[in-house]
Amino acid sequence: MAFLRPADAVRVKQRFDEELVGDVRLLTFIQPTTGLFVPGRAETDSGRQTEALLREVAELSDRLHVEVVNPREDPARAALHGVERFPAIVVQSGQVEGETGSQETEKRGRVRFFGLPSGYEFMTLLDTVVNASRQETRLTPASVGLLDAIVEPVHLQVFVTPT
Amino acid sequence: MAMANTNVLADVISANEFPSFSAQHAVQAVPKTVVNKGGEILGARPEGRFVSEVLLSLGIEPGAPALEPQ
Repeated sequence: MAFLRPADAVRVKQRFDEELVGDVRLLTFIQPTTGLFVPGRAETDSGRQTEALLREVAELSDRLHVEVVNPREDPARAALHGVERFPAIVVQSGQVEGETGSQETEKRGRVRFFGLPSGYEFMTLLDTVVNASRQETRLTPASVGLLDAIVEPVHLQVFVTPT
Repeated sequence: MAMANTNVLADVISANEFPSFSAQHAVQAVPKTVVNKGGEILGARPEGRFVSEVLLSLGIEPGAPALEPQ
């Protein structure tokens, strides 16, 4: 099933063609569904949907790569990225020419998405991909100047719902 | 902000998909931004105000001279 309508796919492709500069990898942690029904615990297929959506989007540009990791098989990789909830997408830029990241060389992404990025979050994901590819921020110079005051690690968690 | 400052890690969390995690952070309306687990910003803001509120929740006065003169 296609997630993107053909007209939207054309628009996204056009944007990627115009704006992507460097390679971006969407390192995606997905726990395969077990097929078990546990009362009180919903087993959604949002992981499978996330993978399908990202693969569809990655088809639109040679600069965009998707790597899917099963955290049960590679818990060290999930731990490296501090990912404890799934599905999770870590947006990585630079030096991603097809190779899978090793623990020694892999950079930690600084923007992560938890859950299926649908609705408005899909637009946020596209913006993040473009920013990562260009190694740019969209903030005004004034905001960037203010943020220079942050000299220690800061963790921002933005809770959203699909709209 | 994560692109502007390498100290910033930004997560976007689909609250519906992680109800217990959202409950831990007392998410009752979205968007809700949690800063370093302690501070919180409810609702959306214009960019400049959002940046200022993040800084304030970190105890940084926006626009104050840098703490570490070189």
